[in-house]
Amino acid sequence: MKTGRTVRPGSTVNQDVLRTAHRVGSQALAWLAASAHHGAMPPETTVDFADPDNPYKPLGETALAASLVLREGVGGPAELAAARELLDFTWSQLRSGAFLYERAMRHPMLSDPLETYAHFVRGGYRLSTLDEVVGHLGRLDSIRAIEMMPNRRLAVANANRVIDADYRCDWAALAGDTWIGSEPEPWLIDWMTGYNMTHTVFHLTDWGRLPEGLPAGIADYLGTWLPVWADIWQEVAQWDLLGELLIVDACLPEPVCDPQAWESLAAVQHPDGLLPRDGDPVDEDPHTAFKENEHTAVVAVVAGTVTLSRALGGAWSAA
Amino acid sequence: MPISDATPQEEFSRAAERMAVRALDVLSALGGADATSATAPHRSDGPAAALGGTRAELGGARVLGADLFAPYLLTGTPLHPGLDEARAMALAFEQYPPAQPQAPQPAAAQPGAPQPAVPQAADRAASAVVWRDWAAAEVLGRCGHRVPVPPPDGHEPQDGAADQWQQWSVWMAQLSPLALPGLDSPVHDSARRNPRALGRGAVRAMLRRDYRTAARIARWLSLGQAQGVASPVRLEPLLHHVRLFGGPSARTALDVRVGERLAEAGP
Repeated sequence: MKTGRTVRPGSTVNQDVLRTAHRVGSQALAWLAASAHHGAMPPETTVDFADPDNPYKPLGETALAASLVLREGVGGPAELAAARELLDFTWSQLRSGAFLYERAMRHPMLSDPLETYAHFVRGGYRLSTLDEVVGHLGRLDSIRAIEMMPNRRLAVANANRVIDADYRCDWAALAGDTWIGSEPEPWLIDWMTGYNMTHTVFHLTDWGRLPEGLPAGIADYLGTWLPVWADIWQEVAQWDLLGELLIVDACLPEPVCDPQAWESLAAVQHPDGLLPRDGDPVDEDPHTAFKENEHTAVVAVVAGTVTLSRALGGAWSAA
Repeated sequence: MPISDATPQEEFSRAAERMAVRALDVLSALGGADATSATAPHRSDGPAAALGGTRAELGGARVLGADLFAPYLLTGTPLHPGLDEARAMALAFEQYPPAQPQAPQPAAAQPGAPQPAVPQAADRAASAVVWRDWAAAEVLGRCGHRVPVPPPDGHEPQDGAADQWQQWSVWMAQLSPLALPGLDSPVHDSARRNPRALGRGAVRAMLRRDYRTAARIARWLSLGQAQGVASPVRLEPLLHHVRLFGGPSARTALDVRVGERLAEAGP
């Protein structure tokens, strides 16, 4: 068993939820793998890309999902192979890290090269020149003092933690600065705040690897209110956000969401594995459909993986 | 009666609004500083002309139920047969006697099937009516007017399954007129046992912008808080938000005001 993993002690595993979570996640992974060519970088892409719909960010998200499938190791051989292929594909799209290195050199105050690199480090890929640059930048006060939203600051901190095992920071202070860290009135949350909240949890726990990284107050708060948020965004068919909330559920000491949420995702998933981001019709053009729903596939892969792994205690990943 | 295009239901609804306005006025007049001195303005020796003078108003009184007496129960003002509200409610029960519902049928026994946490929709609605009638008759009885209502036996809430908080909390919202000081029943026991389910229901209603339901559920949390049961959600800002965002309904305003008064009382 991996060092540092926290098994949910004595948790009553809902087998139906696990079956559904596994099916939704593995089908989403298969769809991502089969559609990966839609997410390729245009050959002329430079590190100064201006197009906000550029494939750069989604490639990083795909790498994240693949890295978690490999880290947790709860998938079957086909899933592990698909995850490895996706990670190879995205790494090659980023020219084996050279794209990230050039972008960090060109725009040293941007955090995205560091955050994207972390997914590949998690999956076993390294580029020494990039290690050197992000290590140096991370020690600069000018970088540490960049003004950003508290949940974004956690993203940077977690990326540093993944890349550098010796990285240290005041996690409690970072958590306390976030929206959910103030244990706010739960009845005013909106869509964007919901996404930000989920990322606070993802980064504090490194996507479920360190459940104890979630301060007890936040865990208690989510234990009470997460089912309400899952209920309301399920009601309005926000499948992407619902999936993110289910990742949060899997990062808690014990899952609290209604098993029906997983059934809802399974019910709207297409036979080829596409999971619609919301209740709108899916575009008939495969490329557009991919671009509009690839994030939801990433979410489904991560949700299925972390849910299964937490429930099983990651036993299958024992090496 | 003025000529109107309104359906009877709309007439009742408007009348219930007027009854709620009256209850708010009475609560405001009674204040709570010196409750007994404020009873005089609301005692009438004549026929119930000031209140319940029309069929619609009597219907409105039945809709409001025990909440017509909320100002008295909240301020500890003594109840007596001469209260306008008592006379009107007694007339209202004559005009609109309670239906005689059947006890809900037990779910078809399936080995291993979990018991539902609350009765199914139709039974839930019928049970809510039975409990509301029980509460109105209970308060009216304390005024000295006895009216026959069906006993609530067999309509006890069955809280339990954690994933049924949505339906159960909405059912409790329908029973908000019971959330008053001095009333107690198995419904109240159920509320005291499940503050988290009530909190979830109130927050869900807030996010769905169903402010009336939110205020009604919050009343149960306020009552619990007054009795020492901690609320999982802070009630003062929630109720103030409903006050500002909840629309013009006097019935919602009454639920808010009752909730605030209960929360102010504290444990």
